[in-house]
Amino acid sequence: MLIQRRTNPGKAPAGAAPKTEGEPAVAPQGKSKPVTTTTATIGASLVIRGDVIGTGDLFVSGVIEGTIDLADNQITVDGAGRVEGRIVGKHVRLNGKVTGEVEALHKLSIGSTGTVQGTIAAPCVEVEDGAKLNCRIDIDYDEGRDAPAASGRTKN
Amino acid sequence: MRRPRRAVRRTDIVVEAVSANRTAAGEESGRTSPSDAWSYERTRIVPEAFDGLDTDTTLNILDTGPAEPQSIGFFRRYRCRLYVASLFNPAVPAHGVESAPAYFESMGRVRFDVCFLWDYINYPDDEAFAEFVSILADRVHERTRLYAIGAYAAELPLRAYRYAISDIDQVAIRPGGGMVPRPRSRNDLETVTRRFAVHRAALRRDNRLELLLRTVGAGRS
Repeated sequence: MLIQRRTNPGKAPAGAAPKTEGEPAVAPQGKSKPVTTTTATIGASLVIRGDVIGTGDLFVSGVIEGTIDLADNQITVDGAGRVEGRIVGKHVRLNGKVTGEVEALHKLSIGSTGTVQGTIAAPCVEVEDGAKLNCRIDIDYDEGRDAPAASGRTKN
Repeated sequence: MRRPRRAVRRTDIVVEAVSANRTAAGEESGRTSPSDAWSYERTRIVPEAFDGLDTDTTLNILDTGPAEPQSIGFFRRYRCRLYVASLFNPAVPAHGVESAPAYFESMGRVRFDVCFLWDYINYPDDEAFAEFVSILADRVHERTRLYAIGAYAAELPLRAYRYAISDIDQVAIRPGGGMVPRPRSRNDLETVTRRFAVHRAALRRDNRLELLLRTVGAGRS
């Protein structure tokens, strides 16, 4: 069994996704009971057909065919990881291959080895050189910046 | 953070002989080793691609090329759906261009308002390019504008660059490595793309020609 459940405050295994800076590893709940945020890892030789829901961060080195719905958490698809289906996360990091829909509620980061085929929706999309996108990006319209007026410009 | 604009010098619009030698075919397709920093060029063609569009509605924009953060950032100024088609793949033997039908078939019956073809038109062979144009022709409407970068002279080499749009009148550009396999001139383009006509053109350095195409029948503004 390659699912590892680990606690963030402890030492993360090699290759694990680093926590986002500024994001508390231990989230306070209520007044006095701290709840430890955990990261679940889908190992490289593991294939899951079905939905992944709940709380906690997820690190995917294997294959998931189905929906990953962790809207409050970080989802990382490793370089060897592959997801076919739907991903919903707060912060989604893609270094592997995703076929389907990706919805990042906070930020989507696509690394240089990331491949996305399908649709993307995120308020902030970071793309590194080398990432391969064949997809539709539903742009989160920045209402603070009106579309530049193109009319009235000098013609050639 | 907005980068400082580079002033356009008159030399930017002079055709320059390119001395770089052609390399092996595999390297010529090269979009594989992007290097160097971005430089910026002012453009009068890109603003016209958006001229007259109803920006209160959701635009459908096609970007054939690697997804560039600058472009994505720019398109956030519009209500739009951005269709990114990374058709370049160095693993594909035919000059590193993937089959376009596979991509377009997956996107449904969308009709694009603006298409940024960049220099993709210089990569496919004639058959693949004709197929691409045929597919695209079914996904435009009478007011669609297409922005492309061809060659001023098809017999001169054309360097491979990576492109992004950084502002309405500013294109970011950086070397993509190698040369493009088959530079297409304005005439070459119009011969193949009978559904489209060159509406505006502007000469750039390195034998590049910025082109704004419209669907045939659309009036000049």
